[in-house]
Amino acid sequence: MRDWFPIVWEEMLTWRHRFWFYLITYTLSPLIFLLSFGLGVGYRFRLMLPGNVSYLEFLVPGIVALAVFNNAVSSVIIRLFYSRLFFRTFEAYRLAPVSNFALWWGFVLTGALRGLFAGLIVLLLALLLVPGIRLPWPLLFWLPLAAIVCSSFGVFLGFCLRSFDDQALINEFLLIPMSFFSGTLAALDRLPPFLQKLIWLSPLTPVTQALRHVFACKPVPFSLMVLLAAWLVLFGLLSWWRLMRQED
Amino acid sequence: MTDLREEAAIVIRGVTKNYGSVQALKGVDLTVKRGEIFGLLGPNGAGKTTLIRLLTTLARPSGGELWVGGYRVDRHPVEVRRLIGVVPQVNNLEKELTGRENLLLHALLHRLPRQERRRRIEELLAYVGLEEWADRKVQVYSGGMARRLLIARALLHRPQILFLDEPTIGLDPPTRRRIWDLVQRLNQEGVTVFLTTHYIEEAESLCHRVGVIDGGKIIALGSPRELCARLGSFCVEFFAGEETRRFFFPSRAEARAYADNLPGDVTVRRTNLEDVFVELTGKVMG
Amino acid sequence: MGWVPLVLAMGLVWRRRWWRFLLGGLNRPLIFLALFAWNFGPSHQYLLFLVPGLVAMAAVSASYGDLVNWFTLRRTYFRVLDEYLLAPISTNSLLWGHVVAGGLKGLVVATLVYTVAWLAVREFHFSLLFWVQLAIVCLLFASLAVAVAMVANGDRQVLVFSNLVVFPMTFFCGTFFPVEHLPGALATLSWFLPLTAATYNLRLLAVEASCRWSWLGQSLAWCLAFYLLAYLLLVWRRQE
Repeated sequence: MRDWFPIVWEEMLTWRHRFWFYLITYTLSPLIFLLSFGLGVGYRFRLMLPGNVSYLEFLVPGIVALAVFNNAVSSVIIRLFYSRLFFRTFEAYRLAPVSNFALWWGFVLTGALRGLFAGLIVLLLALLLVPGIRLPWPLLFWLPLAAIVCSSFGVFLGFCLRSFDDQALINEFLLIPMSFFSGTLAALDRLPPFLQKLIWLSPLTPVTQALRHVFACKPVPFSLMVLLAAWLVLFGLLSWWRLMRQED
Repeated sequence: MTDLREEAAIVIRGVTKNYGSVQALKGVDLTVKRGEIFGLLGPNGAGKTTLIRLLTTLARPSGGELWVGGYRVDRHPVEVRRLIGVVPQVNNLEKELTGRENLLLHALLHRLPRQERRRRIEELLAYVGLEEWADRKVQVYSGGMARRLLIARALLHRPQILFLDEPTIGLDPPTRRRIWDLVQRLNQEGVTVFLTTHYIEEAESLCHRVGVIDGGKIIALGSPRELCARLGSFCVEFFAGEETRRFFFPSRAEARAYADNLPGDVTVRRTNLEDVFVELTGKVMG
Repeated sequence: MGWVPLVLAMGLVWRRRWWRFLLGGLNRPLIFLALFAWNFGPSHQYLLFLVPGLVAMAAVSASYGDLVNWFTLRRTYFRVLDEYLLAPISTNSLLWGHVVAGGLKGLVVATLVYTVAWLAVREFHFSLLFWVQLAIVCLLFASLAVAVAMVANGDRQVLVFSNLVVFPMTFFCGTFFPVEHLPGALATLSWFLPLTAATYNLRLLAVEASCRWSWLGQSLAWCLAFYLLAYLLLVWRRQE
């Protein structure tokens, strides 16, 4: 069952060359969001959110979720895009005596690692910037789980890509709106009523909600756990179906 | 001297080009007459592309003078650009545009008169045999089609001198022949052709004169036949235990006589440009 | 008039992908507008502040973003730039054509953002000077795009520069919140960035329909400076 290892190992090799590049890009955009929205907009305009938390405190779990989601999904989509359509190296994996499950799990892990890395950077930034913030222990469980669910979503999308235009379309139409609306920058109950229901179709929504519970030191509802597990299984099955279809 | 500079198609005098500490050209002298097909032959990295970039105003020499069509290249680049057509080694067409749109863009850049534009584009699409593909995006073209469109584009503004950088690199044999035919037809219509290649057959079958460039210097110059004759028109070739050895003779009879004294498999054949090149540089082509 | 074909060429390419460029330009500004409208309520004072900032943001990303990629890829990878360099047109035409094409696209996207925001909030003024100021921003960042593309050795370097310099600028130059609110020296420093004066002037023009000429002059000076920089770099590249 260690067949997934080469896929992760290949990813680690690229980390070695691009570590600083990743570090800078993963630090920059959460930093900008925290500074400009949390400190700039929220403080200046005295924006308060339900439960009387300041906008900056509200933002932290949202930005963590945003960073995990963005980087897990986009890294794995881009890797699969180049590997399948550009360099055609994906065929080499298909030719190796590796099960479909190992192939899938390998790619999910590579994306999850990037998501986790990005999430940890945001936690560090939060410790530096947000006065009085505490990082609860259950994050050790929830952050990796969040990264894995997001990454499995990315793997499925990556398996579906047919062209460069597809990637742009998915990014602009699906991923960007999803990443901002799924309770990351605005509380769900501030959304218009129809969107409040619709947004539960996004796999990012249970992630943000669970992280919000964790940061508030409240127990995470069991239903969120079930929902996340269901997304993971669903994306796994969908990816498996895409892989089978490609064999025809 | 001055007369030659103005009469010849291309005159190159003591040209050097440095990229940082790397000397790409180390003093090149060369003259190409009007109406000639001239081939610059050399291995990869010999300075062929650099020389074309200098001649076509895309780069400036570090030293020496270049004259194209009677104009000094570094002083009158715009006049030179009007006289020349360039077929680059890499396909630099706009991939998102159709073949016809690419030609239209070129016609606009070179300010062809409005009434001539359409007629000239149709004429050239027919000339290179791309009428049926004219309205498809260049993205879907094969290598040969893209190369033909590049040639059509280079010819659009009726240049007097055509530069082709490795015109048949990466093409299959039938397409390659088709390109050669195109070049020859053009030459008969009076266009001077300057091409670089590292294919021996291309230089041999197409060019009136060939210059061999290696290490940034021209090391031999003449018609393919002259270059072979200088070495000896006939070659005796045999495998001597570890490596293939070649000896050259001015006549078939002398070659035959020498070959008869050798044991084992011996070939007697006409000398080709590849032999010239290997003897001159000690390198294998391609 | 040698620059006209260049604008035409970009127009032809964009004609086939207009939806992608439009969507790419409109997406983020409109999402931010919606988010803050929901967070604050649609009649909040903050939206008056935010909209001109979003228009500036849209103008910057639409005129800079695509042009810098277009130019870098065409110079280093596809070598399409050679075709333009071989044409008998001057360096200035070559630059002006690209800057106008990139800037026009920024202007179109920013105008659309402004129109949508006007439909949602309805308290903004349309004036000629607003578009003059907007056009200056677009030309400024289109010039910057060409300058960056002349120096960068590939799309990764462009990405680093865009992420480290241009992207933060769209957030910290008075677009989302007043620069006085930046900590300490940063507030002063922000006024030395090319976007800040322009954003403030856009806001003044949109909300109060008055223009502060020193701000207009500042951004015009930036625009000329970047155009000159791009010109010099293009000449430098041409002479390798």
